[in-house]
Amino acid sequence: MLNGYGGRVLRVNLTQGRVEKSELDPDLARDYLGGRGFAASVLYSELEKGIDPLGEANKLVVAAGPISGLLIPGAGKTTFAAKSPATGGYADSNVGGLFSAEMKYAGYDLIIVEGVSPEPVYIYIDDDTVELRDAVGYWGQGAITAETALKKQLGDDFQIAVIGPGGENLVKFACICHDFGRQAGRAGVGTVMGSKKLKAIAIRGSKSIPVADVGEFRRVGREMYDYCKASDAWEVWVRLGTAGVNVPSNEWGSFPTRNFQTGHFDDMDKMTGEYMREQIVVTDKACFACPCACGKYSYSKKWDVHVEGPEYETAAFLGADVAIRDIEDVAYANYLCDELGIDTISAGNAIAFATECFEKGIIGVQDTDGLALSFGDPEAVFELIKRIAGREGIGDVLAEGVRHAARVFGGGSSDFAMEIKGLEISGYDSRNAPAMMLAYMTADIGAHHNRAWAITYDIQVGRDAITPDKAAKVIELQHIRPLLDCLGGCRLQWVELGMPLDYYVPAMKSITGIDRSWEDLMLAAERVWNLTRAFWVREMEGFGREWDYPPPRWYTDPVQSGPTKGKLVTKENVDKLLDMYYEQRGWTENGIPTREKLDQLGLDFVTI
Amino acid sequence: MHLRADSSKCTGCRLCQLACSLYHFQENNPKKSCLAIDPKFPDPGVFEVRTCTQCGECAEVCPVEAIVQNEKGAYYIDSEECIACLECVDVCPENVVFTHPDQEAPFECNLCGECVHFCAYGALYVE
Amino acid sequence: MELANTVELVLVGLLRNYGPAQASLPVEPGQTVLDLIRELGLNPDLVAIVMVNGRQQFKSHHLQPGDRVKLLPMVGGG
Repeated sequence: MLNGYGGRVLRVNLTQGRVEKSELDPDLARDYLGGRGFAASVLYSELEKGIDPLGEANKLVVAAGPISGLLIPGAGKTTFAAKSPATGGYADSNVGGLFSAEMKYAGYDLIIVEGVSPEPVYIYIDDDTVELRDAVGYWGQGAITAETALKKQLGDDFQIAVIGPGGENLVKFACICHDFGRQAGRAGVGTVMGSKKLKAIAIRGSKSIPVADVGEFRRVGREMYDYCKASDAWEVWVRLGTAGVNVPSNEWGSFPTRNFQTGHFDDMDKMTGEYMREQIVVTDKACFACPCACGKYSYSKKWDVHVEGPEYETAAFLGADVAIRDIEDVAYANYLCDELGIDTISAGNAIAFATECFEKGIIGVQDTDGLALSFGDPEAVFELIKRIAGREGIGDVLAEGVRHAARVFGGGSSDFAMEIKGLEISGYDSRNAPAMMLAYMTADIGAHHNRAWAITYDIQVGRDAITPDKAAKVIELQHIRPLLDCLGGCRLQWVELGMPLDYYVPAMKSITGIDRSWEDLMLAAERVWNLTRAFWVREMEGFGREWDYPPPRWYTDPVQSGPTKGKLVTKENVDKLLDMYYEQRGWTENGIPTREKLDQLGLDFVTI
Repeated sequence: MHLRADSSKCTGCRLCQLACSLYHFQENNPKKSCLAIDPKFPDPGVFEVRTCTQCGECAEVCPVEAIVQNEKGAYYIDSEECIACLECVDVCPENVVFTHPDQEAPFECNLCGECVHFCAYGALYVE
Repeated sequence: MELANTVELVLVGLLRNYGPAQASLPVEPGQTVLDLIRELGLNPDLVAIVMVNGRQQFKSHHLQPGDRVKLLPMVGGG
């Protein structure tokens, strides 16, 4: 019995139809904590270089953390990880909800799915019973539809992770869907699930999770909860959810608009979190153990659909980035992506890219089967979402991601294919936020904001500055946020509500019985960060600085309008940011972890 | 007096069940808790909360008089006396007499009130 | 009863470095939230969310006497 853990690893081989359970290695728990830490360790040590992400040798790793399933505010995150079919590098994506809690109640910290099933299946887990069940009847169903059907068949107390047609059709940004509106969205973790012919994982557990010191744990959890409840910011984030950020991001000039041509959308009246609340929100929906339900479950009368959202990123990419101005239309596009099972960030980014290419004459109606594309056309967006999920015509090109689409379309469009390492950039135009740009450049799954939400630091200390403290801040955030990903927790209690991070120290001690300081926890996060970097180095011939560069738009194209009009980060400053970052990380000038750094972190088995 | 719920305020966070398990059983296991959360998704997209109304039907039906009231007036099942016939589970109009493989006897709300503290939305109250 | 020409202001988090956590401040007719922020000597970009009487508003929103104004920053760290 390992305090704070389910105690078991479940390995399912879909080629052989074999299920294997083993004890969780306490050393793994000690050094990598859980969640993305476990994922990084498994993927680095078990995958060989050069395997096909859509083939038999790739593994889908599902990981809970030590706080999953426990009374710690925000303990509702599950990590899904694999070698990415989109980027070819390391990928993990987390999803809010109740899945990791249920894993712990069933006694599992890790589920590793190997091989490829000959026929569509779902994995059925009920405590110790693990079965591969026929999913032919569910294959082809939308994710929401399939989750509904599975819960009806198995019981509402089963937690479901499921893919939609997007994953089945191997769209490179297919997501894994859970709890009627949450997704593990980035870098194609859903694509990997589809390539394995795995429609869903259904899990139920009944066991108690052991903790080292129940009394102390109860005290710490209660204090964390009380802090959140008493926060002045609590009522704001429950009211608005992340859509509350739509307005400030626009005021900062960072709201990506018309494929990042600018960072300011000039028609926000029907795009605010407040308008959304008043117009469509039905229920405040929480993840497991979260006292500040940011989920805004909505019903659109106009479209007669229910959808959880739109969240900030969706308002950015299925809203401003494609110039849709009514959040109710964004909600419908959101619903389509959720049911079809594709990432709203990448989908919107790809549609915006295609639209800019069309408006510039790089592609035309002959490429789109007669569909005319222009910014501000919701019907075109809805149609493209369906074509992407179904891989029809131009949808088949866009389904490969913008990096590939730019190569196919040509015409210099690679300059404004908004991706880094092959992953579509998420919702912050960073031409006047160098720390945020650096965060995107160095995020370890490709361009994603959740490793280091550094834009507020740019705002606090001065946006134009290209100074070492900005690199230091990005590095610090890249340890904190991913630490939460290792623990199984959300950042909202800290970022939005202001809950001190210090609480995680006594929390972890009372849970695991291991006395770790904050620095110890940060060291584990740094270890994981260097391990995922090493994954890329091993995987990509010639990996290094070149891979960290942003798209040319960010250093050659000034922002077209709004508060950051005229701004960009020059190529010279991009290099300066990377220089400062690599140096502070203890990496070479080309961005490779040094032997010294690897050994310092206990990564002596990494030979890159 | 009993635990009441305004379901319209429920967000489905399960903190109430976590608190119940932690304070009632000193365990981390919402499957061992004394109130129920029923999600109604995707349509209409709400949560329904079921709590014990202290109606006393479980006590009435118990063949060995194992169900008595505590100092708060809440019915509770004396696990020493219980013969696990589960008649109380069947008769409960709210389906809030619970069983669990770990426990020999069924269990029900003892009105400790911890869940009320841990509901950030005020969906739960004792009245 | 005559309403005092004030608004109730609450500053959240690091914004308290720039002003009182809670205060009653005089308000001129037609004054916007942005005017108020400037009077406090605050960088407007530091104010992420503006709530007036429990609803999110733009900084261009005109204030009325008796309004309850809550200004929130956002931090990603530190």
